[in-house]
Amino acid sequence: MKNDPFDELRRFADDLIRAVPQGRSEAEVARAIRTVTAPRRRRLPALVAASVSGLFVLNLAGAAVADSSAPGDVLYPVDRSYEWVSDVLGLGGDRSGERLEEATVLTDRSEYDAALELMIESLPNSEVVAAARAIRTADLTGTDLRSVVMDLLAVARQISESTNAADAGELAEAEEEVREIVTDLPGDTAPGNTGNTPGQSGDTPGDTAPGNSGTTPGDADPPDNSGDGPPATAPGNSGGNSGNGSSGSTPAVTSPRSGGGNSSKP
Amino acid sequence: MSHSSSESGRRVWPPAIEDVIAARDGDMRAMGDVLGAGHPRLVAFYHGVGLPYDLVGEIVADALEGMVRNFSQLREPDAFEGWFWAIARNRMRTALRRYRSPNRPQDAFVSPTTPEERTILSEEHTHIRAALALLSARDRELLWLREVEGLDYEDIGSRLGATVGAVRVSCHRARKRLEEAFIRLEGSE
Repeated sequence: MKNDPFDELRRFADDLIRAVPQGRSEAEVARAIRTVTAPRRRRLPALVAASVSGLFVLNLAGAAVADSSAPGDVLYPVDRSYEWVSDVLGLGGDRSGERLEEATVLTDRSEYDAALELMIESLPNSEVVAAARAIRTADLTGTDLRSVVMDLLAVARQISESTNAADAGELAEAEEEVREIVTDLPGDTAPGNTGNTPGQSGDTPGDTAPGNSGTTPGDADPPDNSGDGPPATAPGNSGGNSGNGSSGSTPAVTSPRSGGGNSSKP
Repeated sequence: MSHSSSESGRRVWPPAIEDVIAARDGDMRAMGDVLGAGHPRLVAFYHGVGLPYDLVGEIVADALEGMVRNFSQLREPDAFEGWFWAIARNRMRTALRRYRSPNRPQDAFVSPTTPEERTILSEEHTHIRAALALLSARDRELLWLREVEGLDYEDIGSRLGATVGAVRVSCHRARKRLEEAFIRLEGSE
């Protein structure tokens, strides 16, 4: 044996040991010390971040679930709260579309009076609001009421889209359709008897706030009454509209508090 | 052996017992010095026993972290070397179980990108590398710890639960096999 294998082995080992740069050894040892001595401080921010992320996701999920609710639902106040926050933050916008969807949901549930009330309270277009008031005043029940409310909803959607698209022509046509809906209503709900001053389209100057158009100046616009002129029913029929087919809805007509009174029918 | 740095500035091995005690008692600077001196020996050991090269860096880091984590539990500073190599070997076995690589020492020597790799592949050590490649991983491990690191049989065997006698016999057989392999390779040249 020319060379001793164990001497060869030791020379091999020494060369390997010397080949490792000292700087690298110091760096790797320092990293090991850092890794072992600082793990806890890293966990807390991760936990906090995870908690905040989880709350954020839950919030988003809650908003998403509440978004599909309608008046009368448990989550509806939550949905309106989120909308209020969005509006405060400047992230809100035209909510007509949402109100129309909610009104559609109410209609699907046969809650026609609630759907009309929602439209009166929240839609910006005075023609639609006036038509909704007129329908509430009209003596309609069952499928008649349902079809006229759905017609109004359909046209109201067109108006909303036309307004958003700034399409004046489409808007005018849609508003004309609304007036035809009102014209076709049974009884004295023809234009002029909805509380609008004759000749006006319902947009009384200075009186274009939702729910206010068509009201006689000085009327208080109470929630369950049109407050706008003579009702469609003759005396004796007041209160008879409670059978309008909507479940849980209040009578659409006539109370001594209505602005024109019940006795002004010609 | 002196615990002061050598003329080249490298820390010497084994470290001074005072440094080991200081490191055990929480002196991070002392711990850095002690483990910094041991790091190149760890690297050389893992390469020498033929671990896959891409695994060596990971096992070295793992072993160092284990030593930092457990340093405070070193009961006998005199037994530091045995403790050091026991952790090194345990980490190696854990990594190999995960890696499940066949015993192919030549896999350790891939393309030379680091100084130690270039040393491994230099012609000067071709013969001993080839002889080691003919041995089992266990024989390479025993030879390195006994012949290179100078551990006694008790230190080699105590952490493995093997008796001093069993370790002595195993080391003797490993030496014999290395000699035979070395002679066989010399004869074939």
